[in-house]
Amino acid sequence: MSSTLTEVSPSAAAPPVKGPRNRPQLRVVGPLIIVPVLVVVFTILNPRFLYPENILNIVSAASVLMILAVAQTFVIVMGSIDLSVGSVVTLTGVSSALLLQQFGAPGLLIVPLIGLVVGAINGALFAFVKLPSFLVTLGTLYAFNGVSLFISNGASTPLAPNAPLSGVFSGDLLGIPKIALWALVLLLAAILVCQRTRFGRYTYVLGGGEAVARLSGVPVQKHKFLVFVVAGLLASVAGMLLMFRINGSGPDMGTTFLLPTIAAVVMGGTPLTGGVGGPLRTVLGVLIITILTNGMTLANVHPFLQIVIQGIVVIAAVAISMDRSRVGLIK
Amino acid sequence: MADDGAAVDPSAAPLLVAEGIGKSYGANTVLSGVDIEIHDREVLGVVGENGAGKSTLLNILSGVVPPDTGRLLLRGQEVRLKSYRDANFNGIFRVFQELALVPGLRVYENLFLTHEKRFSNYGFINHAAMRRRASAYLEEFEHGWIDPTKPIDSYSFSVRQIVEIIKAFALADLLETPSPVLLLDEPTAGLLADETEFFFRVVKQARNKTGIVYVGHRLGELLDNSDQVVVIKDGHLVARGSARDMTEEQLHQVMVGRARSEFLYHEDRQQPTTATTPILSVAGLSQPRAFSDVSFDVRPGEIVGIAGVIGSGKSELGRAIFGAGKDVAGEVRVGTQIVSTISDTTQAGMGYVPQDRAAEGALLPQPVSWNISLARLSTEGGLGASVMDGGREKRDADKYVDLLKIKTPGIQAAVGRLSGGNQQKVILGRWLAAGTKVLILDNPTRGVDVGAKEHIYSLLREQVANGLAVVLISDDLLELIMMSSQIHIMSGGSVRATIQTPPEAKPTEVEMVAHMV
Repeated sequence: MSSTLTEVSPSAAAPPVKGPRNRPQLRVVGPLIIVPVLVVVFTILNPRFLYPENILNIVSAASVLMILAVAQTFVIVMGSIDLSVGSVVTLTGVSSALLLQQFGAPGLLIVPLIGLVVGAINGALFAFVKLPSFLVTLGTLYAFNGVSLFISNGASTPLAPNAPLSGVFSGDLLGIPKIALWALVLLLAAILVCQRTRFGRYTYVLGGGEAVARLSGVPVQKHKFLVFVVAGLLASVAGMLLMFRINGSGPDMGTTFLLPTIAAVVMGGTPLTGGVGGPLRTVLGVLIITILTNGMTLANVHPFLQIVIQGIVVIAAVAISMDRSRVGLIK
Repeated sequence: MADDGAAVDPSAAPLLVAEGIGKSYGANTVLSGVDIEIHDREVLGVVGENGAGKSTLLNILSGVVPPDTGRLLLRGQEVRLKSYRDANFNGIFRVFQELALVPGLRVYENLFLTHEKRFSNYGFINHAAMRRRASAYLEEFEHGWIDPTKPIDSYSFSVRQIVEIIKAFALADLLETPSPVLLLDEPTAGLLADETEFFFRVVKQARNKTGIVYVGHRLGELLDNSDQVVVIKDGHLVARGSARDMTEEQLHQVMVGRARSEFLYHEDRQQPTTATTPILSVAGLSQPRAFSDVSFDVRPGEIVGIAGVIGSGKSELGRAIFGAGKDVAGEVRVGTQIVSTISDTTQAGMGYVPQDRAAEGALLPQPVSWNISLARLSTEGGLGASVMDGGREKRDADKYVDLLKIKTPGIQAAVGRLSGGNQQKVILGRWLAAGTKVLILDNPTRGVDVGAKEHIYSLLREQVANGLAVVLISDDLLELIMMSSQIHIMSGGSVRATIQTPPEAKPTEVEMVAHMV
């Protein structure tokens, strides 16, 4: 060592740094706490909340939202967003009623095809034309609503009494609403896909790092396309079930679903940045939203105020769940 | 100041003192216990390898990030800098490595950005006064030909760099700081030779009334223009001394001293390959505005290095070979198979470790096990591949965590929680788990601590002995020389020289540099 250059011995080692993510995250624990708290609060406000018929009511009301929220979960886990789910519900709900009226039971086979086509439109614009999913689905939200109005002439279509297949999609089985069983089947399938298939893994990986996925050989564009196709398919089933649940279709039957689906996913603990979370978590979000709506009604909260509260709850949920270190929110 | 009077030059109290500065990002300690002193009318040179923590130190000195430990004393007073603007008001100014100029704004608007209030009358900005002042500064620094009213992005990179330099001096003057501190972060990196000369004239001029911290990679330049020099290595300040009677070699030795040991690079394990047919053939590969007509072969069991300065096209070449480049012409073959897309290359057994680990290498929010299985999943064929094999994923993860000595709380831990070196090992594990035969590495040990470096080199030796072919692209010349058996040196987008580097006849860095510029 030269005489002019003095070596400096390193000072005492710094104390080990605590990992910033070691504590259980509010995002994960929060929803697990909120559900029982809501149940207790609403039971105190009105004991009828826990009556069996009300619980079946909640389950039934949660079903369509559950399926849509599962569709939204796939898209959000990927780090994208689908604003068109509600309009796909309207389109497929209206189509189901009209097809059933025209062609009877076989007509309903076309409904999932409609779901695949609208999903493919969203997916192609997003994955291959490379437009942001936010803008693509904002546009198709309007377009699909327009198509619904056009094909129905803006009119409602009531479901004929004893319409074919009513027995499959509405009514009860062993005291449980059939619509809830359908939702449960789709939910379990979604959980299986997310946890046990390469399709599910790719969806998470795209949310965790798209560039990483591409440079590891993941067919990124193809997968983005397929996720939107799956979302379209699930939304079309939701539209058909909703039509049976409300005994017919109306030109705005899906409109109110957009915000609750996103809210359910985020409140369940899947951040808008994607990469973590999943359908099982979304169940909690759906329960929170449905219990909130049902409970507020039983507690005689003014319906208009209910909307205000729902909006505030969504903002609070996003504030809790968003990882602010990963900005550049929606791809 | 009396408390550490012994360490201070008795004739002048330091302008700025940083004491025990430490900074960590997650589990990654970037700086630890760094003490420096900046004196008035003195240039303090700061050297260190990539990822040693130099830029973080400047970020702390300029208020861009707060330190985790330690404190700053400005003219004897403790200060907490809340932002770069706050640092400005405390008399600290910086020339940023990445240009901190706002495109679309005019030259004069950029010069006085966030200090417009100095030129305002009743809340309205007096643009004429700003322009006049800007012209005056440009004249003073002999660049009166720059039109202050033109948008900054109408000028070339090196002119923008000059404006950036003038900006630091102009702001210091504008805020009437009596003896400002100027922080220069590799200010000459993007400059041509005559502009570099201009820059050092400005530094000499400014030295009469400022204290300067100068971070640089060009050691000769740095020694010529500094009074004191400190060396930072892996986040620690390891040496300090007077620049006057120090040579470039001495400085370099301290900077990368331990690197010369065989222990680190395992040169003794470098074997000539027995294979005769190449596993990777690159023929006439070109990419517009990046590189042209590059051809070379890599045989199983050898490491071929690619050297070159930033902008030589070496990183783009790596991406292009892997099929991740745009508008690439020419031919890449793995064995006999022609490959051109990422899908082709990964299926054929090629892997790629990108330079930007956080953005392109690791799935930070996701588990170690997912990161390791990713390339195997995407390259596996057949119907069975669409169903996840959880047991296999776990076994692979356990195997590579063990083999690569990855320090992690578990295979379920998010990779973002690991240190840089361990993240890099996870990415290497990903390709090994996929059965990769050809691995392209772009600066694989950047920002990696020395312990992890040694493991990575050892692992590469082992895999190469088992027949892995490696293309090693690196800014770290010593790493290239020690690891490779052959190095292609790129300059201006083409291969300028090819040097054989057998274990018994390793070239010096100086010999390499001669071909690079």
